Amino acid sequence: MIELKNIFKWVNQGANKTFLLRDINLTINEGELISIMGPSGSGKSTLLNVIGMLDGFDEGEYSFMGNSVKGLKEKQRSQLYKEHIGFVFQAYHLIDELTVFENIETPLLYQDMKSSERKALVADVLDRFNIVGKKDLFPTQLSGGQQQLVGIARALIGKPKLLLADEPTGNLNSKQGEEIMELFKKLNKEDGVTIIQVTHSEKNAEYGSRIINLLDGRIEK
Amino acid sequence: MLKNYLIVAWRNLMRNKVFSFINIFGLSLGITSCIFISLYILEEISYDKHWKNADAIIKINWEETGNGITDPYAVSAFGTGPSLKRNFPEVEEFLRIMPANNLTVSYNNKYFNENKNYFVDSTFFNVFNYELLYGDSKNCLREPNSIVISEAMAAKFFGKNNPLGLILKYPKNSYKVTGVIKETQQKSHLSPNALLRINYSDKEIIEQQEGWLWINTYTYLKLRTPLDAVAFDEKLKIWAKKTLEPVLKKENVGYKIELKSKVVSQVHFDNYHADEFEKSDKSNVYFFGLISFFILLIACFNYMNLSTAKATKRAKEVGMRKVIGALRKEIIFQFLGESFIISLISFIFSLALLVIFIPAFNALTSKNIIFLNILADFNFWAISLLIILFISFIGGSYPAFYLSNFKPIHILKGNLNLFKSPILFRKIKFRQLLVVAQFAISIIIIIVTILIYDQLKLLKNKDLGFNKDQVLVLRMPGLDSLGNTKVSSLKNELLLSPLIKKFSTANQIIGVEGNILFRTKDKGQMGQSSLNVNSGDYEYLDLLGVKFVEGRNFSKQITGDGNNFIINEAAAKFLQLKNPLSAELGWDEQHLGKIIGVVKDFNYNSLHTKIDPLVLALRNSVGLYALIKLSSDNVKQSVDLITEKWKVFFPQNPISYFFMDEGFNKQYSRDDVMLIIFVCFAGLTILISCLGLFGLASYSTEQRTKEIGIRKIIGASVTNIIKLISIDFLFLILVAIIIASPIAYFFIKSWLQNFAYKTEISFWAFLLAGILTICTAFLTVFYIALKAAFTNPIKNLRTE
Repeated sequence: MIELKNIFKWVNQGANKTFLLRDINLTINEGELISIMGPSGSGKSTLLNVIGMLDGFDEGEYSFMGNSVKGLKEKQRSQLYKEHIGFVFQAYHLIDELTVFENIETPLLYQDMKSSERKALVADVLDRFNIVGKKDLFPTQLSGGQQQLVGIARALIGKPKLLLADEPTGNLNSKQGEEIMELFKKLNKEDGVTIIQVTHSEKNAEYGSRIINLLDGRIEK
Repeated sequence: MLKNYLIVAWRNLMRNKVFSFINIFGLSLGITSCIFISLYILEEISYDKHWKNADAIIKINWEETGNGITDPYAVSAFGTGPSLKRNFPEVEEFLRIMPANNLTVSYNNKYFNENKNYFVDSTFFNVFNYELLYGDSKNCLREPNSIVISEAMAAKFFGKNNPLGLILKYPKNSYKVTGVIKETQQKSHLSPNALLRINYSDKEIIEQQEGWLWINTYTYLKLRTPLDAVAFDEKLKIWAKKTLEPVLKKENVGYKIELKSKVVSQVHFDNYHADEFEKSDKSNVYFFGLISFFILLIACFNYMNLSTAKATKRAKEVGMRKVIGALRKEIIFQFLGESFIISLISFIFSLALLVIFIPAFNALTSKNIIFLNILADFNFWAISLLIILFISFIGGSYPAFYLSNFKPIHILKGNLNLFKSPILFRKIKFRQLLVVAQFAISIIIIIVTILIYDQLKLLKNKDLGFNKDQVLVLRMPGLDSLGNTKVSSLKNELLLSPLIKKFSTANQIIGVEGNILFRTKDKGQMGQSSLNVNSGDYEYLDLLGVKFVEGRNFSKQITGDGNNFIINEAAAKFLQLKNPLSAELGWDEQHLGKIIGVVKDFNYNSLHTKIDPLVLALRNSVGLYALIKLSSDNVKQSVDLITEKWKVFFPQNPISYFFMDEGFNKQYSRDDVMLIIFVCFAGLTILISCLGLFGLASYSTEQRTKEIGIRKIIGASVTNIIKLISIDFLFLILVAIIIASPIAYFFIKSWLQNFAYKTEISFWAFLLAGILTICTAFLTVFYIALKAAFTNPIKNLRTE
C-alpha cells in the first residue's frame, strides 16, 4: 500500500543541512497496525506527515497505492484524502462552531453525498462509538477522551483504508488512552483499516503489529 | 455544504457578540452613508436626462470678450433663437425663456407672490415634453395670454378643481389657464411654476427683436440629431460673424461675441455662468462619491482587521477542512460566503438606519426622498447589491485568500507554530497598516472640517465695507403706474416712526444688476469697457454706509445727477483714471455723464469673488427692492409696523421680505451644507474607526492576559499596564496624523481656491484634529486597558 524508498528530508540552517529524515525505506501493507516510536525530535511526526502527504520530502520516492506522490496536484491530493486517508491529531482539531454530529458529517459534505445518506452514516458511527447522546453537544462541552473519539469518528466516516494518528492519546489519561487503543485494534481487526500511529508510550505501541523505531531521522534496525 | 457554512458563520457571529456587533454596526453605518450618497449622486446626474431626445436639446450661452476679459452669460439676445432656426436646417425648434420672480398673482380674492414665472415661446412643450394633468400640450400655448401652471400653483389657487379656462391676474396682464403641468419626480434645471406665453405684439418685445446687444433671454434649441458640440459651435461662430459683427461695428462696440452650445443635461452642473437658473457643483458629486467609498472602506477595514485577529482560530478550521478533503476554492467560497452573510445582515440594519435618517437627509440636501419609493427603485437595489458584493469581497478577502493558502501541516502541527512564523509578523504589520489608514482618513476629514468651519466664519464675519445689519429688504412686486408714488408715500409714512431710520430703493441687493458696455472719456481720450452696474435712489449708498474716498453722493439739490455716476476704487483703477472726478462716463457717446464720486471698495458680491469694478447709477423709478434700516433692536415691532403700512398701500400684494445679513449669508448656504456634511462624515469615520480600534484592542489584550498577569505579579502598577496597552495604539494614531496632515493641507488648499478671501490654514487646525483623535482613541482603548489592569493576575494565569 505504501512504499517509501530512500526518502530524505532536510531543512537548510545557514550553510548546513539539518536532516529530518534520512534514507527511510519502508513498506507498509494493507491491514497492518504500525506504531512509530522514538525520542522527541527523532522525526516521528515528520515521517507521519510525509506519509499523509501533509508535508513534502526532498529526495527519494514515495508511492501510495501505486501512485507516485511527488508532483501530485492539490486536487489529486485532496481526492486521496477524501477516499483513502483519515487523520487523527493529538489536539483533536475539532471545529468549535460545529456540534459533534456536524463535525463528523463535515468530511462527507466535501464528497457531495446526499443528505439522507450522510445522516445514516453519521448515525451509524455515533452508534458504534457510543456517543449518540452527545451528538448535539459542542466540542468544548466534551472531555478530552470524548473529543478524541469524535475526532476518530470524523476520520473514519469516509471509510478510509488508512488511518494516520499523531499521538492520539497524548492528551488523554491512561484509561481514556486504553479505550482509544482498543478501538484502534478493533478497527484494524474487524474493518481491516490500516493504521499508522505515532506514540511515545511503549504500552500503546504494543498494540501494533509492527514497531518502527526512529532515531535522528533514521529507522533503527 | 452550504448549510454547514451557514451554521459555522452564524455560530461564529453569535459566539463573538462584541466583534459581530462592531462589524455589523460599522458596516451598516458605512452602507447607509454610501446609499445616501449614491442616491444623492444618482439624482444629481439624472437632471434633464429624461426629456425625449435629451441629447438633441441644447442651450445657447453667450460670451463677450474685450480688453482680454471674457464675460460669460447664460442668457442671449432675444432674436438669437429664431435667427438660428432660420439659418440652420438642423435646428428643428427654438425656445426662449424669460423668467420673472416675485410677481403678485391673483384669482378672486386670493393673492400670492409667485416665483419662477417663465415667459416662454409657444414651442415650450415641443422642446420639453412635460406631461400635462389638464390641457393639451400641443396647443395650450398657442394663444397669446395663455398660461400653463404647475400642479402646486393650481392647488394653491383653485384647490382640486379643474382650472382650465379660469383667469389669473398678473401685474401687467391677465392670463387664461390652458394647462396644468403634472408634478414629476424627474429632475430638471427648469422648475416652472407658471409658463406664460410671450406676447409677440407687446411693444417691449417688438423692440427687443432686433436688439442684439440687449441680452436677457435663455435660448434653447432642439436639433434634429444629437449635439456635436464642436461642429455646432463652429457654425455658431459663422453665424455670429454674419449676424452680430455688423451690429457691433455699427454701434462701435469694441468686444467680440461668441456663442457656445451646451447639451441640456449639463446645464445643472453649469458653474461657469453666474446667471444660470440653478447651480450645482459637479466636483461635489465626485467628491462625495470618493468620501462614501472611503467610509465603506474604513468599515471593511474593521471587518478585515477583526478577521485577522481571529485568524489563528479560523486557521485551525481551515487546516482541518483541508485535511478532510476541502479544496482551496471551497475554503475561499466559504469565507467569501461568510462575509456575504455579514454584509447582508448589515444591509438589513442599514435599511432601518435609512428609515431613521431620511428626514434629516432630505432637510440637508433639500431633496425629497421617500423610503417606499426607494424600495421600488431599480437603481437602489443595483447599488445595494454592488455595495454588498464590494464589502463581501474586500472584507472577506483576507481570510478567503490568505488563510486558505496555508499548508495544513503548518497550522495543525501545533497551535503555537503560527505565532512564531514570520507570517504573523507580516500580519501584525498588515493590521497596523489598516488602523493607520482608517485613522488617517478620519483625521483628514476632521482637519478639513475644522478648516471649512474657519473659512465660513471668516466669510460671515468679514467687514464687507458696508453695513448690512438691521436692514430689512422688501421685495417689490411688479408695480403699476401708481407704484412709484405709493412707494414714496410708504416711505414717508414709515420714516415718521422712530423705529425706522432710513428708507431706500434699489434694483439689486446682493450681486450685480447687470454688466454694461460703458463709454469713457478721460483727458479727451475716448474708451470703452464692460462694467458691473448697480442702481439705487439718493439714499441708497448712505443707507448702506458705503464710504467715499473722494467726491460726493448723488444729491437732490443738484440737478442733472440722474446722468452722473459714482464708481468704486476698483473701477477707477481698472479704467486707469488718475483723476476720476474729471473723467466722463456714459451708456453712449452722445450722452456722457460726470463721475461725481469714488467710493471705497465694498463686497457687493459674495466673498467667493474679489471686488470687481462697479458703476453706481441713480434710479428715478422704484427698483425690485426697498431697503429699510431699522433703528432699534426691536425687530418684531418694526416688522409689524412695516407689514401694517405695506397693507395700507399695497393691499393686493402679499408682503415679502428678508434681512440683508441673512440674505448675504444665504450665499454661503451651499458651503454651510458642505460643512454639515463634513461634520457628519467626520463623525462617522471616527466612530467606525474607533469601533475597529476597540475590537482590536480588546482582542490583543485578551491575547496578552498572561503577560499582563505576570507583569502584575512582578510589580507592574495599574498605570504601567494602561501605558503598556495604550502606547502601541497611540503610536499608530500618531503615524496616521503624520500621514494625514499633508493630504488634508493640499485638499483644503484646493478648496479655498473657490474663494477670493481665504482663511489662513492654521497649524491649530491640525493640532486640534490630532488631539481630538488621540483623545477619542485613548478613551476607546482606555476602557479595555483599565479592565485588563484591574483583573486579578492569579485569575489570568490560572486559565492558561
